[in-house]
Amino acid sequence: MFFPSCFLCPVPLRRTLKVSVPILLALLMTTQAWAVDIVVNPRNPVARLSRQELLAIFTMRQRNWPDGTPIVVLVQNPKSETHAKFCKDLLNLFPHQLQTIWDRLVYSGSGRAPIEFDTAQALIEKLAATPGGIGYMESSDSDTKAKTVVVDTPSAAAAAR
Amino acid sequence: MIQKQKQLLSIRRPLLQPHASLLSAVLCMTAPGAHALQLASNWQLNGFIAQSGLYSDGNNYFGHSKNSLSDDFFEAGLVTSAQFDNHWSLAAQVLSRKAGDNDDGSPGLDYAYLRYRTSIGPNLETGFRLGRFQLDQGLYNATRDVPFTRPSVLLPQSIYGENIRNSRFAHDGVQWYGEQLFDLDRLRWSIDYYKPISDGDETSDIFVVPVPGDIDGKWSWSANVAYEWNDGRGSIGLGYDKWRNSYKLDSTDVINFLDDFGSSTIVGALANSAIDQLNISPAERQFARGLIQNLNAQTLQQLLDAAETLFPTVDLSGYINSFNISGDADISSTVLSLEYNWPRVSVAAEYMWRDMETSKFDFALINTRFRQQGYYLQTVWHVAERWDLMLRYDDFIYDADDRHGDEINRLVPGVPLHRAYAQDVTLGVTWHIASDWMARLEWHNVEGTAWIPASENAENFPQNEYWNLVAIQLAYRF
Repeated sequence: MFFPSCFLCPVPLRRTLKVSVPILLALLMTTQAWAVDIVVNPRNPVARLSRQELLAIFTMRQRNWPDGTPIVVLVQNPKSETHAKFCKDLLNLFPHQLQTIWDRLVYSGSGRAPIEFDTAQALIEKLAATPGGIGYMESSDSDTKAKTVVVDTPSAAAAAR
Repeated sequence: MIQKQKQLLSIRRPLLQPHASLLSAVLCMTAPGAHALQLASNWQLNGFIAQSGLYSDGNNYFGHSKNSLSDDFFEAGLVTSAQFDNHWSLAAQVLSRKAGDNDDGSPGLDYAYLRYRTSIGPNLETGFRLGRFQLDQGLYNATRDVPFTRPSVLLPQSIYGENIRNSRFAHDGVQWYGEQLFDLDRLRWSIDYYKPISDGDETSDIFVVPVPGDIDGKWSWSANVAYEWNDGRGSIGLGYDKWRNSYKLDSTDVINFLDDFGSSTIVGALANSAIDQLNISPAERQFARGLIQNLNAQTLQQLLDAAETLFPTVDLSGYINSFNISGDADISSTVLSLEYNWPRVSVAAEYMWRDMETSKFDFALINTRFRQQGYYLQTVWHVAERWDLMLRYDDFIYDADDRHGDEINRLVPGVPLHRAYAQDVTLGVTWHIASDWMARLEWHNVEGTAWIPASENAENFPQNEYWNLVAIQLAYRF
């Protein structure tokens, strides 16, 4: 739904796509409904995540990045619109479903809850200071202190081919 | 609760050291800019507190709720976990729970365990838990005391019965577990080898009639497997648990019990068993049996008095006073669980059967075996952003061969027939006031009294077969 124009993208090289696809998407976003980006600490080498990995990270099941750094999950206020959009668009869950998953993990002692922030700025500050951090924010809040990660939805994967 | 604290000391030494470091880590973390101790770099503390009110119109439940409001249901807990490195972590929960006569509110250690986990490739994780940890059976057992992880104020009593809560929630031992990730699915399994927690109340936990004697846990085991599909929306689980105990009675226990609850059937059967053990001639044995049949003694003491008059040379009373009856009491339970979560509606169903078996007693009468069974069907509807509606049917049978209670009523006169079963239709509403506050109201319409703990009603047995229970709860968490 967000990426119809990706099919018109003429540049064949994978490397340039990594740069241009996010930019293209960012341009597209401004003409469409607002979107939510996944962001990590700029020093994190990870540039793309599959939807499965994203779900595993935000349901606190995946605990470490490939290089062994512990993942620190940061989220915005669970009652906010940004959080609702993040849950529905990127995780395909309702916020209350995600909350139930977090509660079961936390209160059985087998997992940790994500850290909550009331503003995107506060989240970004923490992200910049936490090497293993991952969070999300509205695309319009993009900041050099946070590195955007591409999420492999089926259409994005098609565009990358 | 004192027993629980004693058992904390018996948990292996390594657990005690992290507690001290955790405390230092807490103190360091409260000072801004200070470095936390590397030993516990990732420490988390959560908690909850909930106060409930209960009103019933037929029987007492959790305090004096019959025709009055009982506030005797209060839960507060602290949960902590610490991640030491990629492999080692610790989790513990302290709970204070006041629930009528079943829990007195003194804080107890619910669980405290050390976890070692390791990844074998990106999709397989396996590990161990050591210490005191929850029985991972059914959808709700692992977090049964946390209001925010339950669908209602009271969990379905067929499977999560109050009477067995204290001994079944957690145990001490070791668990090996694993999780295998597939594309959208996940397979989880665990095997526990444990010693049950004995707090001295197990006989009333297990039997619907307050039976005397001492129960001591023996090494037991449990195995559970669960499969989740569709990103965890659906899950199906199967759990098996073999809870083994030794059960010991002495003669005064037996005599007092029979005097309180005995019937001529039980007294006669016990007396016949005793006669079999005695070193007397076959003619005397036959005479004694005939005597018992004709005596119609209601209490064992009457029988002993009569026997002593008629058999002055046989020290029947002395013999009975000298014995200890001991044997095994095992409970094997199997739970099948099913759950599916659509965006706005969840359905859950669980089915349980529990084989209760006493064996190895010299008195054959006491060697018995019966099967309990229960199931529930539940749906939760997320009607609006802050509101949930819940509907549930819960069915419990104390003895599958005695569905209407005739057998237990015959064996132990005075026990109402309706003590053998309970069918509960519950309607509940949850208001998520804020992310950390929740209020609940529910109405149970119940037929039968099988899951009311024996101690709650003055005559020792709940008296009303048809009754209603309304529960209201306010809960806070952090």
